[in-house]
Amino acid sequence: MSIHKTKAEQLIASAEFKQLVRHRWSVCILLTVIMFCTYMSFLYAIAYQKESMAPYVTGKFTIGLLYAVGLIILAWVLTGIYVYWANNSYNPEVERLKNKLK
Amino acid sequence: MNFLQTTTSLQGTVSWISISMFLLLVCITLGITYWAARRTKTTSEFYAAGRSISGFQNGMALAGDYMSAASFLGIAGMVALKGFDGLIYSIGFLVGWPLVMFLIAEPLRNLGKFTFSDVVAFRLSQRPIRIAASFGSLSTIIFYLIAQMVGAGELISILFGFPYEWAIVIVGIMMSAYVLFGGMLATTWVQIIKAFLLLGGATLLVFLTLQQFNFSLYSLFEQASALYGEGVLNPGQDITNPWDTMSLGIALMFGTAGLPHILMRFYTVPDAREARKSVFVATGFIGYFYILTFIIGFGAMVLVGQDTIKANGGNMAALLLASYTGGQAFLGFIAAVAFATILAVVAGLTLSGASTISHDIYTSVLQKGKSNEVGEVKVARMATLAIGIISILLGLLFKGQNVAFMVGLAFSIAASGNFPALILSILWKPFTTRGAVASIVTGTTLSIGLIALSPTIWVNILGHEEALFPLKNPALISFPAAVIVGIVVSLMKPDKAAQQKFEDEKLRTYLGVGSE
Repeated sequence: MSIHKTKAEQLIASAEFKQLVRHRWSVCILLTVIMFCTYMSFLYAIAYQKESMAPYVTGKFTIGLLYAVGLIILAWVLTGIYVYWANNSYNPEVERLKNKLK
Repeated sequence: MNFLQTTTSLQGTVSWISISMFLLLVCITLGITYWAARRTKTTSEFYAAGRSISGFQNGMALAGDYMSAASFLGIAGMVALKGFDGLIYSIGFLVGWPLVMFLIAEPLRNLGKFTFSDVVAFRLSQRPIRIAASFGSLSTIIFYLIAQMVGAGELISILFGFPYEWAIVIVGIMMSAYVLFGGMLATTWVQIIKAFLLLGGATLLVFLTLQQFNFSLYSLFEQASALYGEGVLNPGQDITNPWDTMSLGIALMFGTAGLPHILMRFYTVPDAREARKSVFVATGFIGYFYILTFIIGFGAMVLVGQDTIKANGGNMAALLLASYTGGQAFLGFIAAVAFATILAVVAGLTLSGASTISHDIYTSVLQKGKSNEVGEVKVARMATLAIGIISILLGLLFKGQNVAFMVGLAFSIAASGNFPALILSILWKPFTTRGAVASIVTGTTLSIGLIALSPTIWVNILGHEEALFPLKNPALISFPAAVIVGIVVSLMKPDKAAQQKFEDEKLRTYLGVGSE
C-alpha cells in the first residue's frame, strides 16, 4: 500500500504527468475560447452590426443565416476535433501513465 | 395561391389517432418501467442505471433529456412569426454543449458518483457544500419543472382534449411512476425513445414540407421573403436591447453545463471515454434538431401563414404544419411525439431532484456521509413521490400564468449558481469551502432577486411602471458576480488541506484511477 502510494505521488510530481494536464487544458481552453468568441461575435453582430448580416450570399441566404447555421456546424466540428484528439492523443498517454502505477 | 385554407384551429381536432398513439406510448413506457424495476435496487442502479449505458445510448438520452416540447413548439413558432430572430434561441441552446464536453464531462465522470455536488464537495467540507449545492440544484429544477408542467398542461389539453387539470395529473403520475419504479434505467429508455420519435417526427415533417417546395430551400426562403418581406431573413425587429441578447446568451451557454439533470446523466456510462462520446452524439442530434425546427418554422410561415399561427397562440406552428402537410393522422402522430417529449424531460428533472434530496441532503448531510444502500434508495423513492405531488400542485397553482421566463431563470441559476462552483473546483487549486458556498449562494440568489426586479416580473406581472433592473435575464450580472465572489472569498482565507487534496485527486481527475 505504502509503495503504491509513493508511486502515485511520484507520478503526480513527474514532468510527463504535468505535461499531460497542461496539454489537456490548453486544448480544452482553446476550443472553449473559439466557441465562446464566435458565438459572442454573432450576438454582437445581430445587435450592433445588423446591416453587415443582411447581404445575400446565395439565393435568399443572408450572411446572418449562414453564420447561424455555421455556428451549429462549428459546434459539431469542434466537438469532433476534441473527440479525435482525446481518443488518439490523450487516451493513449493516459493508459501509458496508468500502467506505470502497476 | 391561398395557403390559408388549412385547419384554422386545432381545438377540437382530437382524433382517435392521437388518442390511440397516446395510449400506445403510455403502454410501452410503462412496460419499460416494469422491466427496469426489477433491475433497480441499489443506489448505483437507481441513480445511474448501474453505469451500464453506452456512450451512444447516453448521447441519445442526453438529447432526449434536453430537447423540450418548449424548444420544439416554441422555437418553431417563434421562427414562423419572427423569422431570423427565432433562430437566436436555438443557437444559444446548442452552443453550451461543446463547453460541457471541453470543461465538464470527463472530470465530472471521474470525480463524482451520482450528482454534480459530489465533484464540488470532493476536496472541500461535505456538509456546507452539499447544503449550498442542493439549494442551487433544487432552485434550477423547480423553476424548470414549473415551466414544463404548465406548458405540458396547456399543450395536452389542446392536443388530446383533456381538461388542463387532468393533463397535469396525468403527466405528474406518469413521470413519478417511471422514476419511482424504474429509476435511471427507465428514465434513460423513455428519453431514448423520445429522442428517436422527436428526431424521426421532425425529419418526416421537414421532408413533407420540402416536398411542397420541390425540395428546394431556395424556393422556401424566396417565398417566405416574398410573403413577409426581407425582414424575416435578417436579425432585427425583436432585439430592442442588445444587452438582453448578450445576457440570455451567457445564461444559455454556461447554463447548459450547470443543469443538474444533464450532469447526472454522465454517471450512467462506464468511464470518461464513453462520457466524451455521449456529448459528441448529443451535440450532433441536438444541432440537427435545431436545423429542422428552423425549416419547420419557415415552412409553417409560408404554408400555414402567420395569421393562422397567431390565431392559435403562436406555439402551434409545428402542429398546424403537420396537419397541413400530412393530415389528421400525421397531426396525431406529432401530438403524441410532443407528449413523449414532455414526459422524458420532466422524468429527468424528477430523478435529478430526488437524487439531490436523497444523496446530497439525506445521506451526506443528515446521515453525515454514512452510506446506507437500502435507506438511501427508500428516501430517493419517497423524494420522487414528493416531487411528483409538488409538481402537480405547482402546475395547478400556475395555471394560466405566463411562466415562459422560468426557463430563462433556470438557465441563469444553472449558469451562475452551479457552473462557476463546478468549474472552479475542477480547475482552480486555491478554491475553498467558503468560496464555493459564497459563489453558489451569490449566483442563485442574485439570479432570483434580479429577475424579480426585471421587466419580466416587476413590470409585466407586478404591474409597476418601470423595472428596477433593466435586463430580462440576470446572467450578465449574476454569472461574473458568482465567479468573482468565489475567487475573492477563497483568496481571503486559504485552505491548505483542500489544496493538498487537489493535488492528490489529480490521478483520479485525469487518469480515472479510483473513479466509481
